[in-house]
Amino acid sequence: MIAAHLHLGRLPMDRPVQVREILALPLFDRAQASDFGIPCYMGTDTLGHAVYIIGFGSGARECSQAMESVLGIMGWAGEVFLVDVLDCIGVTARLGGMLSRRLGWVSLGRPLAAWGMLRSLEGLRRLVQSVKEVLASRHG
Amino acid sequence: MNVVYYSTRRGLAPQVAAAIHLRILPMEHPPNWFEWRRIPYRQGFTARDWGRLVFVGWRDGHGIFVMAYPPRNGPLVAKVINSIQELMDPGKTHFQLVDAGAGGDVFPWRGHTVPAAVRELYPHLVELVLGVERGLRG
Repeated sequence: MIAAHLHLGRLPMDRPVQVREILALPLFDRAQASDFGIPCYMGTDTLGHAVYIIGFGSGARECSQAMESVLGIMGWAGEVFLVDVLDCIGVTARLGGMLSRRLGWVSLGRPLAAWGMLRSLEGLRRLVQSVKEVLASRHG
Repeated sequence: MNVVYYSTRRGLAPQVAAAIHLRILPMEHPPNWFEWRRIPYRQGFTARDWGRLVFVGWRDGHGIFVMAYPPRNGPLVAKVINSIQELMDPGKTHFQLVDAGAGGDVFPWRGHTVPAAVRELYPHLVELVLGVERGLRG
């Protein structure tokens, strides 16, 4: 979700970000288990690419295999650029998310997740930048 | 349309159903050992395959697949398949998911006989496949 906001220019790629900016994002730390597996449209970037986020919960590997299977079988693989952001997310953000979403300790977990996201922000920015470069090269 | 046979019990029922659908196995009687050996992927799948749609063959213009169904996140995988096809081609169904193990399942078997459970399940699996075929025609 943070990566999508960076991609769409709703969070800055260069200047520092405050915890309250992360907390103010409408979907931050709001995902329910029932949202997993459903793509959520976040917006369209400057090159016209629709940006979606999708959560897989604990089923990341099998869900992404299923998704890649469907895209490959239908010949849609070239139309979708899948980006796994999980490797960029540090332990603090994951712990905060778990406390908030799984255990329901929102007042503790959500600020911790936001703070963890700030610590993971540089990695996410590098990832988003590389994605944008790949998309720009495809675009022409 | 593509048909994806899977089993929440994670046995071989999808492979058997797919083989019936493709007429690799007979419709009239349970398979004998020689017929049983022709079932694609009868050794089952490993965790590395979970979530993958494995192509088994074509029949009447329909792709027949089996899915290696993961133990914990099977319903989520099915949801992903449905939501991705809805996103990419709204209102159209390209993958029909069929639970082949709803009436029971057969588990990988290394012996040199047909697993005993097959005889019991076979009529049910033939009926299931005939129902799927009727749905595809109609």
